[in-house]
Amino acid sequence: MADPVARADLMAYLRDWSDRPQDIPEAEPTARKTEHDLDPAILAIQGDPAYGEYLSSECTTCHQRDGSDQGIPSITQWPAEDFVVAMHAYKRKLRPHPVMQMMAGRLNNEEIAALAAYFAGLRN
Amino acid sequence: MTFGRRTFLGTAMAGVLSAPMLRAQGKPRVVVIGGGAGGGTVARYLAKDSQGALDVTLIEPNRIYTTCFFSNLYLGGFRDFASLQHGYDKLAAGGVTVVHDLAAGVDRTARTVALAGGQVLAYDRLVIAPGIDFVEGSVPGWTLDAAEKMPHAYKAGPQTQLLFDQIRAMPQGGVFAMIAPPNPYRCPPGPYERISMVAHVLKTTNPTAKILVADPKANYSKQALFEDGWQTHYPGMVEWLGPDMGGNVVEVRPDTMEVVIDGEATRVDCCNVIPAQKAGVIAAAAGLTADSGWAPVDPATMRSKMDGNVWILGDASAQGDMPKSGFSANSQAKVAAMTIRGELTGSRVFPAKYSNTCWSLIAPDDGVKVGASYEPTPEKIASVESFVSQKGEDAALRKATYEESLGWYAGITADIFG
Ligand SMILES: Cc1cc2nc3c(=O)[nH]c(=O)nc-3n(C[C@H](O)[C@H](O)[C@H](O)COP(=O)(O)OP(=O)(O)OC[C@H]3O[C@@H](n4cnc5c(N)ncnc54)[C@H](O)[C@@H]3O)c2cc1C
Ligand code: HEC
Repeated sequence: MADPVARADLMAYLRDWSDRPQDIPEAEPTARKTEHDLDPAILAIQGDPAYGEYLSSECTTCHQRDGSDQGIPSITQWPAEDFVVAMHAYKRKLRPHPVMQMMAGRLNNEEIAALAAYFAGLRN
Repeated sequence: MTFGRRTFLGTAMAGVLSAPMLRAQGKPRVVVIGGGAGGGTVARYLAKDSQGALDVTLIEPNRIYTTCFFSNLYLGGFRDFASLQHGYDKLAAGGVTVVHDLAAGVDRTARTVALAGGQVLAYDRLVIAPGIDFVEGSVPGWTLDAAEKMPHAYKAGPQTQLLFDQIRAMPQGGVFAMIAPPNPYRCPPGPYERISMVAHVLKTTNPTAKILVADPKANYSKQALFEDGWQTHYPGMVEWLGPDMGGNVVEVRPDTMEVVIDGEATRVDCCNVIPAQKAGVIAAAAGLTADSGWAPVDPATMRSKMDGNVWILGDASAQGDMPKSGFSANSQAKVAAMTIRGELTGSRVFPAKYSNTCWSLIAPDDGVKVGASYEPTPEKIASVESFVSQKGEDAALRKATYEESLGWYAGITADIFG
């Protein structure tokens, strides 16, 4: 696809609706703005990165801190909004993966915001 | 070997009154016994997150750690041995003083750890994560000396390589026997993943061979998935004898390579004995274990119930519902690191969250998993939510599950060892 914006939008769309989002290639490290019906109040929460750092230690058993994505997708340096949308999609079981549904299922809105803030800022 | 300054100071100060003085002057000291999934993680996180405010020393006899996780995949020919091995260089580079020695004793009053090499290290907080040891006499006829003939391969290393060779040296049509352990033991699906991997090897190289499992348990982890997988991939090869078939009344004769099940002796060609287990002996030597052989901990922190200055992690701990796994040990270590750091440096402490997932490979690209999340209650670490793979999942999902496990191995080993 020639138009990079259209391609990125398509990728973002696929990523949102695929049950194997890690198989969808991205030129950019992140998905772009996605369509969703998440409450704007949830998206407006400012995450606490210190809490996010502690919570993130649960994620890094599987997701590598350096952003490697062998077998399990990278979650570093995403725009916070996309991260929040993806986590709520697991929490609401719109995305099917059992591990991630369980992980996201027990995180509250503040905790998801904290994780988004922390991972967005994580540099190698 | 990295000999920290502390090592020598510790020796000089051994057991004398000057040790507490040194503590008051210097940075708070944390000593970690055991550089496995629990100990490696806690040492790394303490050093990383305290940014130099803590003096962290890790005591581990081996220079190279061989993971038990994925050692079954090595037995099955899916990984090479070197891929299971990890060094401590990055932990040392991250600020952990790594001492390659064995902790021989703990003086909890003086707050010191004596090493086999003679040094004595003082601590403000001690973490004990020694993994497991075997209960002597739990399989009549078997002793640690017999492990050269009948390997346990349940602490990864030369034992795993010995079992690898023995499987491949079996005569055509020979018998592989496993004596499975009673609960609780490390890695609940481990013995059955191993059976799957042995069956995979035999199917291709020795298709008339048989596998005999004597099991003291009436049921086991992911049983329906394993039985279904064995039926599909290795029909007729695996005979499993539970307690109703005498699987709990077993004796072995290493000299004649016999297994006696419920009074009936069978000659076998390879015999994997996985004995009953208890906390690594240093935990008992430190007086921190209960009658069960495991070390009870406070569910919210992983702190020993017997000593407020000591934390116990991983397989050695008695904590409640979490299985004894590398994933669990890694998860517990993060709660421990957070609470220890909070206590010693005043950093923020958040509510504990724990989780676990155990993947098993049944045949090529046929992976399954079981997992749960956990929270502390006053009594124990309790399971809150869980999931398990289902029978009849399509091949693509099973393959994805296997690939995910490869990602997990890369992730957790980077998380433990840097
Ligand atoms: C065949 C098999 C397959 C497995 N598969 C999986 C899997 O897929 N996923 C999973 O999560 N888990 C798996 N496990 C379980 C996992 O290996 C253990 O639960 C995990 O290693 C426990 O971590 P730990 O820190 O408690 O102990 P360990 O990792 O065993 O580490 C203990 C360390 O302490 C050291 N030590 C002992 N005593 C002393 C002392 N006195 N002084 C100094 N050092 C000492 C030892 O040398 C060792 O390095 C498997 C286990 C087996 C046997
Ligand atoms: C047990 C392993 C495991 C743990 C622990 C884990 N994840 Fe995941 N995560 C996965 C897998 C596997 C996927 C791919 C899921 C899928 O196919 O939808 C995934 C997907 C994701 C995605 C979507 C990635 C994408 O490319 O769309 C995000 C975001 C995410 N995880 C965040 C987290 C956070 C935050 C945590 C910690 C709270 C966490 N994960 C803990 C295994 C894990």
